Amino acid sequence: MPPLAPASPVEAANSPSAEKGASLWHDAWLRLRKNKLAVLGAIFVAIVAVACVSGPWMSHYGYEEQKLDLRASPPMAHVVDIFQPSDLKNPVSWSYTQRLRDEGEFAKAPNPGELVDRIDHGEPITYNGRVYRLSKERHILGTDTLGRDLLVRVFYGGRVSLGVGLAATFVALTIGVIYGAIAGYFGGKLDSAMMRFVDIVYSLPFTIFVILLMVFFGRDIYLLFVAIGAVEWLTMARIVRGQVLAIKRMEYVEAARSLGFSEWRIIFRHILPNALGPVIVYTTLTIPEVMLLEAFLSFLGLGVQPPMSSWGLLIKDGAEKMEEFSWLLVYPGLVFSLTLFSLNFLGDGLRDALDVRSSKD
Amino acid sequence: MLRFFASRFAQSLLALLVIITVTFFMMKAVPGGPFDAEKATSPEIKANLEAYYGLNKPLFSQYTDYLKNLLHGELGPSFKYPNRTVNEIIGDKLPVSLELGGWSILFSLIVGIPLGVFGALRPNTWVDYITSAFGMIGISIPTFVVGPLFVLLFAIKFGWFNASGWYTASDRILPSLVLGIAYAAPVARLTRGGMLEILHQDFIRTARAKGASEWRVVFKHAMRGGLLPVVSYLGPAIAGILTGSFVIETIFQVPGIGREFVNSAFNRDYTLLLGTVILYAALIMGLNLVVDVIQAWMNPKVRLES
Repeated sequence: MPPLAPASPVEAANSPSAEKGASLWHDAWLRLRKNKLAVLGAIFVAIVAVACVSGPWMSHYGYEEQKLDLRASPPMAHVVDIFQPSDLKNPVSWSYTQRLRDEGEFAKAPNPGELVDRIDHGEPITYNGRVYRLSKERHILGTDTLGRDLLVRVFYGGRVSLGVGLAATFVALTIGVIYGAIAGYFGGKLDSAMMRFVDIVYSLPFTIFVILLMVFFGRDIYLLFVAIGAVEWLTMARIVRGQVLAIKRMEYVEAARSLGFSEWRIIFRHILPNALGPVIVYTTLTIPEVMLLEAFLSFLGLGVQPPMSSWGLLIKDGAEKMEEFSWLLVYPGLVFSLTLFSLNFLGDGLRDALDVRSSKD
Repeated sequence: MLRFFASRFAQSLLALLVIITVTFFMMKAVPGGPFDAEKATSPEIKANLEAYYGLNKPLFSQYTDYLKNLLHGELGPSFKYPNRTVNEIIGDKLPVSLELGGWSILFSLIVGIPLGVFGALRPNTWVDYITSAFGMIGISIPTFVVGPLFVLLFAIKFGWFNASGWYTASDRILPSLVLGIAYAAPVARLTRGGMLEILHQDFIRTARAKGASEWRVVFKHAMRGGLLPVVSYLGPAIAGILTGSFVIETIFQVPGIGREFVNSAFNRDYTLLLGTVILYAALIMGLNLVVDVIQAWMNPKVRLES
């Protein structure tokens, strides 16, 4: 038990926290705050979300913008602008110092290595009628094989991945809560029929179903929300039904009914708000699950299509090219895994804080 | 027990029929057929092809024909591989996927169960933390990240294995490992949870009080109940391993049925697609059925409830 919980009702009435109302939510918040991993997870997810939303605005690279001269440049590579001597404002092409070295750009000069070193130190070099000057720009995570900035693509991919995660979870949440509430509240034959249906759908192979949907109805990103949401609502429905079954027998619901409130009002105003804890916990745990499914589909080429970006797509691209350009796999994979980690830790932390017994496993 | 089994069996058959029907009509409803290929086929040839595959008949009789053939175990000719039937393709590729899946399950149990048991025996010690950390890693780092990273590390950097292929015994190791890790994690977590709950029960205290050795308490008394959650997880796990092998087979170029399924989806090879969907659905539901029965056998409570 957390030390903040009052030991007896008398003590609770006398303690200052009673005046403020030590609600379930306040207690849960205090408990969550103590769980370092959950807090770290929440902070990380917040940072990633803010970066993904605002990052592309702050960067002047577009997610589709290709600079073939700078294809596959490693993270933090020193970019070199190459000019005609007549125009020192607009570069005619680009390269980076390691490539100048590797491709022997100055092979015919007496001291090729030294030339590159001097460029590296910021000194402009004129060679063979062209001016080489170190650029102020850096591609922090490097570029892909089409010369697109990887960081911007990771941000854009994050928008899509997090967006799909939230939207599909919302679909699942809406269907699941309404379905579960109806089954649980009205009970009887309706309940058993509805839950039987859930059982049957549960035994179907989901992944295959989603793949079929994507194949038949085109690889539309909005369809992706619906398809994933449509398979993820089942657990939510079971959880909500269980909660509603327990809550509807409570006296205050009886009281509401005796006041002549309509059934919808009782369900949505009186029962569901008290079933919120498990719903929140499960929602937090559904988001990473959905993101995983989206990435899985994109990895197989059945989800988000290029030139759009999503974390699954970036990982697919990276996996194809990792032999030469390992950063294309490592960074998107890292960001994706860390985000999933954080969301899972946050979900677990919420589960402990709200004291929800997992009905999932 | 027999009634329990029969009702579950009937339910699975019904679900299978629903899957077949829905997939079949969805396939037909979508514009674009397998013969609307890149190069234009002349109308006569197209008509001949359609007659050969029975596509010129009314939709409903195509459906009943398909079901009739299915009852005889015939899944029809493939649209994209000339002169090959879906049965032949499945016969070729399925054993590979089953082998991959078998090794993976074995690996996940060998790693997951001991981790979970030790975690439960010494809760909140470093052993337990390793178990929990491992569980989190397994949930959060998907196979399509682990797979390429392992290839990068163990095949390309260290050169211990081939990066892809399915020829030698050592080619089996990386794919099975990657697929197995993902399932070892939940197995460890479930074993830990199940064992923790069991170890707190009275009959365990009784066994200890009688002076049974710790070894005996754990393996003879606690294991049977403690592993129940793992057994019920095995159904979904095997289903997941089968579908997870789409990704693994793509990464490691394993000539299994998963890759065939994904390709058939891309190629609109409808008969092959429908055939593999039926195969997967039947496998998964069959496995769930087996798990239900095992569960009922291990835990009388489940049996009585249903």
